[in-house]
Amino acid sequence: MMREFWYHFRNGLLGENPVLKLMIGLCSVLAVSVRVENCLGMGAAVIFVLTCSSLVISLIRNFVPNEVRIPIFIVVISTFTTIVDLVMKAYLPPLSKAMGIFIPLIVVNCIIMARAEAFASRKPPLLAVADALGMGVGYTFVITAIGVVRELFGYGEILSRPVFPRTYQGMMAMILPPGAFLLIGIYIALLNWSLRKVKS
Amino acid sequence: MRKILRVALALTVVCVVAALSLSVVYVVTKEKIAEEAKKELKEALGVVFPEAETFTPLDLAALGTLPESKELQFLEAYEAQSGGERRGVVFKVASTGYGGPIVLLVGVDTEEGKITGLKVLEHQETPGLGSNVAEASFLSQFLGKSLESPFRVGEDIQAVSGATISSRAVARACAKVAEIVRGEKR
Repeated sequence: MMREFWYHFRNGLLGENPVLKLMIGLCSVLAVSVRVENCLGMGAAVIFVLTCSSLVISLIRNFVPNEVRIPIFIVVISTFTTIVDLVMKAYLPPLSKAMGIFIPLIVVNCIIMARAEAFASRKPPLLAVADALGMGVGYTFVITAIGVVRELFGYGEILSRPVFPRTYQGMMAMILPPGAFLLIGIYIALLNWSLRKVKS
Repeated sequence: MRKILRVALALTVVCVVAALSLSVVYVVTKEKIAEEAKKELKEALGVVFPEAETFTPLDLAALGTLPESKELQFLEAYEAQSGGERRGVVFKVASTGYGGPIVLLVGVDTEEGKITGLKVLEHQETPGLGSNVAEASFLSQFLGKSLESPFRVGEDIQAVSGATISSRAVARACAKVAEIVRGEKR
């Protein structure tokens, strides 16, 4: 059981990384990854919603009739998303402001829906949690890796602390969405290249 | 028939449980959220009118006819007081920028007839370009300006480079606020 847990956890990190391999949930990656702080907050929110909803969906999988499974998944996912939204507004107001509309939009983040449909609704709870954690961490890892580069070259800062001298002008392309597109492309290429190298 | 009941039952149970848990979270966080919003507003008012300690909301309708247009709406007004005396007013206005309305607070010292401060509360301007109108480097040029100034970009206001429309929106808000306060005095 433990080995299976790790197998499914690792799956989301590299082999089936949601952003770089499955290429889902890209909108939020493009929009939020301007600053590292936002990436970490978004990552934490996605991990929480994904894990909780995968667990619940897996627990009720035998009770849910096939015809209405999608509406039920959406109710479960949106409940957890609203909880995150309210809690963030109450206890982390600056972060909740920075992420704006992208927290409510976790509801329609395809990563969560896809994992619910493809994995959690067919597997026992423990494995569903393993898969959700792996996917969530894989997502957070990639979005943060993009955020570090965008914030560093776009603002010359990391976690809002200046890294480059004050005279640094900032690369506009990194702040705007094209910067994220370019970085995602580069990361996909790097991952595929290194995976192929490992194989041969 | 039994199938339909089974489907309906499943949906009902899930929705009831979801609604119950959401209402619990809502009740728990409600007060804290309202408190945060209040604190945030108070802080923002303090920034645009540092000399005043208390701010009392004013009724916008009582201020007479405000110049409303598509580009500019007056949302709220506060009277700024210090030591129980009226020192000035703070207006919350929405001025249309490049990406949508820019909501900002404009503080005016009515005795000396000058701008005491500006703060952008919400905006959807282009990050890195228009978003710079929310920075002190742009807003500081309005500080202490007389209400008689034209508040026109290119004349007495220097625009953020690459963001003329956003800069104009902020200048327009100041010009209109100045116009109202001047009109009130006469």
